[in-house]
Amino acid sequence: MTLVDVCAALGDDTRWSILAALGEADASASGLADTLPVTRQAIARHLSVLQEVGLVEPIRVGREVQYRVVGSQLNATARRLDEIGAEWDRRLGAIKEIAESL
Amino acid sequence: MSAAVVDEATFSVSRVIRISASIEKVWAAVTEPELISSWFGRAELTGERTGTLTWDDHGSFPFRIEAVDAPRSITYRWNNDAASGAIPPSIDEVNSTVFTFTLEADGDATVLTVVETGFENTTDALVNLEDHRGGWDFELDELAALFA
Repeated sequence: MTLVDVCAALGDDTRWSILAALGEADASASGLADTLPVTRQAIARHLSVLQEVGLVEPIRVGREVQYRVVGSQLNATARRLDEIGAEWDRRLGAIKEIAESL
Repeated sequence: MSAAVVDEATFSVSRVIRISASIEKVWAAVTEPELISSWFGRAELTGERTGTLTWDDHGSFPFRIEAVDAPRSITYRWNNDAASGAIPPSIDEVNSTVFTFTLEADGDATVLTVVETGFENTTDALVNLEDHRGGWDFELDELAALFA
């Protein structure tokens, strides 16, 4: 599993909607199908893609299988992007000073 | 300056800043090697569209100019993949990222936008992910805030 696989899994509107919904609360495929405009079968396929790259994990709740977001994948990437963004903040500040003093 | 923008679909970073200078001056600051050297690494051209950005304590990172539309936009590709432990002598697209400056005149000022993409190609982010793969992290509030 590489970051490219994670990105590929994320590059889909429906899967992003599923992740957002699971960010609110754990849910089963049927539960997600009730709130999203997608069939339960399609949701199950998308969940399997997300599970393969470690973005969600199944948890058994009574007789139902619910899915839970595994935040570490996205958080690690988001932290790195935040660091890069902070570097650009510093660089743009320097560009501003240079251009305004030319 | 705008708040951080993280694009969840493309893994890009973008920033916008308003500069009280003409578009020509801002263009010079993001394209002329001697000026780039004062906000970035020491910029040296090795060809018409290729060069290096050097930090004495980090090394010389190759870059390549991918597109120019003076004075509105310029796109650079570069290799700055700290975690890979190796710097290629010339652009290696495999683990490179791309950043584009877009300039827009706004009265006497200039709005400068930078967008950097391609982080899914770098081993740096990968290393971070590998580091964190073992432990589950349920910071969903943070997650929701970052990707809302």
